Amino acid sequence: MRRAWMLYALMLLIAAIWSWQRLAPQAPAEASRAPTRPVLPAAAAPATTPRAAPAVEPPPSAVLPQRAPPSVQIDDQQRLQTEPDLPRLAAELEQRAERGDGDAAEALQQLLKQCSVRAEFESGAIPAELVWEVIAEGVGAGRVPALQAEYAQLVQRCGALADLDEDVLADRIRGWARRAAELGQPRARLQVAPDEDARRAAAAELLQSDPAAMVSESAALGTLTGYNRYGWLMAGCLLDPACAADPLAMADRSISIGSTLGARSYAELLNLSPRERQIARAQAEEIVALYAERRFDLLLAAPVRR
Amino acid sequence: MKRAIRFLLMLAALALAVGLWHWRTPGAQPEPPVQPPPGASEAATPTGPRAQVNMANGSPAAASAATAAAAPVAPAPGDQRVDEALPLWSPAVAEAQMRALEHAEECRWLAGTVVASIARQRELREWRWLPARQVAAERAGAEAALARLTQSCTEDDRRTPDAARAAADASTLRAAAQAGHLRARLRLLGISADELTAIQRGSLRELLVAVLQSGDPALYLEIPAYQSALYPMQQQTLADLSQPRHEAWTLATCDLGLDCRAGSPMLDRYCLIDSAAACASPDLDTALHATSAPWEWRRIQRDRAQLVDRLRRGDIQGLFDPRARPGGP
Repeated sequence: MRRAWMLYALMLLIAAIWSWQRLAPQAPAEASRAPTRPVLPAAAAPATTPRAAPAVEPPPSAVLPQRAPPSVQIDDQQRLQTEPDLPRLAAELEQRAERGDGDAAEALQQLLKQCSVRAEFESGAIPAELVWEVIAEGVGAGRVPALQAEYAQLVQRCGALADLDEDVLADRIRGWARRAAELGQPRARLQVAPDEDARRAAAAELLQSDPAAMVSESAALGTLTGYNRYGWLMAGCLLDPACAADPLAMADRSISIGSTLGARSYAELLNLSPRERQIARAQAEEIVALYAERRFDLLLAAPVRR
Repeated sequence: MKRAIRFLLMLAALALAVGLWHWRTPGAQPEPPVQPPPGASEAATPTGPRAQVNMANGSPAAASAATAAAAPVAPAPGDQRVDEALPLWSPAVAEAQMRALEHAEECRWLAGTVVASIARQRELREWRWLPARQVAAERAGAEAALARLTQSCTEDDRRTPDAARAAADASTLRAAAQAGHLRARLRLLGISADELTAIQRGSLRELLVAVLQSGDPALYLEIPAYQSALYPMQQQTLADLSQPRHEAWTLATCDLGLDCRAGSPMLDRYCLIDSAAACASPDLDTALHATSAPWEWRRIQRDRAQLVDRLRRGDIQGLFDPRARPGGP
């Protein structure tokens, strides 16, 4: 009798554990399907410090959200461009993000996005040869060898990250972007905050400290305000002495493997028709004038919808 | 020990009950949809010029009519089946009936809210930012274009069709298609690639070849709207990359003799639907140049020249064949 009770208890205990696992929203088993907490591939971890399987993500309140000092943020951005071992950088950023550093989480999603280049090129939907052909149409055939070399170098820097499946990468990028937003990073909040007011507040915070966000966040600002994305892009250009004198020359110099795959940069100005350029210029002049007066209320006012 | 087991049992039973409840609650399992990134929908805004139904082909209601008349399927070129319930028309009668039908459709469309909505969007997105003189010219051009296109519209044309009229229109379309009328047959096939079967795509390919063989530039304008439907969805991207651009087809028809100058129905339609720049342009060429990125314009010009050259020489073999994937099919 006593053994039967024990058996019954054991069965119920197994059932309880099963049901508890179903209820746990961030359990590692679900990470690949619903990656609220993105996980880097094993190859991303430094070889000398093997990493255990990640635990259940701590709730946002478990860590104190914090911002990285400006010098660290600049360093992160620099390393995104130059670091030869991006999986190592990813592991560092992940550790900082786990400690509540929103800027690290944001830099990590940028890094992963950068490393999705191979998935973009070699997903099979479009043969790579055709992609290069289209790029050649846009930038001129003479630029293609340099872009191909840049691509090869980026794939090498990304290491195992570049080999990840396109969907897995996309899940992780989204996951880290959400994490960065939860940790208060304004760029991430602008991208993923659920309501427009929150995104508008994030945009104001971002623009006050960094007018270059007009370029990198031009698409988000374009949907949020009465100016279109190219107006914001051109405004960022007019505020940048290196660009203002000759926007198209700057756009031409900004062509990179990232820009050809949709990363926001001055290179986008090359996609404007003469009419769109005229409109962007007029919008940009208004944006720059309002920015000089710090009139974020007007700059970020919702577009009139009739 | 017994008390501990009972306590454990109670806890386990409770967890099991909650787990089962959660499992059975609809909607409790799936991850909530991810918010698309801002800007993702910007290009898809229904007021964007590229999103408009192309009116320059003289079939303003092509999209809606294709849906409305989706049930019947156009006979394949060799198909001799005759629907005896439909009138038997000569090609000339079919053409006259189709012209009347398309005219009424255009009148209704122009009297509807879309044109006004496009004008409002232009005020906000374009005209607010352009020099006053240019805006005045474009506004005046749009008004003149609307007046020209609607001058022969009667009250009856403008009226929203009742069920009987809609049925008569659908019947007209089928009867014209039965008489071999190419625009009617194209419309009955529809333009939605994901709804076409492989057989229908084959019919569409043959129809488009027949359009080219007709030698009628006005009919060529139908081609770009149907071109992408030739390919199943998985080949679309590849096809998009290798097919001549919409604008290239349109400009090629101008080169082949269609009137694309200011005041022509072609430019008037383009002005009202596709681009305000066309409303104050001397011709379509100028309007498209103003609204294309330089690299895009280079590609349009290249495709246009190739098309004109091939069409003039009658070299249409393989024009609608999808480009082979490098390294195999």
